[in-house]
Amino acid sequence: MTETVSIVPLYVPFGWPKPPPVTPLEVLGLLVGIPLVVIIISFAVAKAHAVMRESKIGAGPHPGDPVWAGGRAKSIMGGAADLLPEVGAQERREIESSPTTAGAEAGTGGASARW
Amino acid sequence: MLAGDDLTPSESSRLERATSIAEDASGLTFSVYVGPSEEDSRAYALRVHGGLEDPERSVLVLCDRSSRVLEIVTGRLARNVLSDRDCALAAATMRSSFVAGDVIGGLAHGITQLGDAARQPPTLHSRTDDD
Repeated sequence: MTETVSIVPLYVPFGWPKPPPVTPLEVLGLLVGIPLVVIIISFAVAKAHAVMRESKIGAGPHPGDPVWAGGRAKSIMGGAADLLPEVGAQERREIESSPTTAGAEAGTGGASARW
Repeated sequence: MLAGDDLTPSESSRLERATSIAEDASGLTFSVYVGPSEEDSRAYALRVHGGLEDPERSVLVLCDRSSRVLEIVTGRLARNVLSDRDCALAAATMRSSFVAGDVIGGLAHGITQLGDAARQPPTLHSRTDDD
């Protein structure tokens, strides 16, 4: 700090022109106005990027969007691919002998699994 | 792998069929969510379930493929006909398919299994007003 003060003296050296007085409005513009403009420009750039991306890939579902199912189609599933995979006897015993795997939050139930 | 990036129309329709069959069998409302969850997947699933139209009678199957998490949530009334043990068995069925790489097939099997487990056969010997 002292070095800075010594390098940049806070007085007008002899022979230099006297600087014009700074009004409070100019101080406000420098300390508040300019940062505000920079922030607004940054937001505008980010928003424009999102809008351009949206217009580029189009409206509607995009990759990464969650998929919901729960409709009312009446078709019948069939085919060999729909055969239920077997749960091992040991795994079934463990499940049936274990306490419930879900919490009882607000009366809800269910189960959890990871793979 | 992202959330729903590789779901083909036939896979989507397979899930729709499975939920429809399960709903017809059980009289409950089934919702399947395939997408990103949060770190506490159970809490997230409960929140999603709470946002359903009729959470009391709804069964939510949440599958986050990127985190390899499966959550089944049953509402208060749905739990009366679909026990946690049935859910755990269906989850095990689904998991065995997921491990084999068949996520959509596992979900379809598991959902129909849940519907079968919650099946409420009509009784011919119920009490009537005359009793």
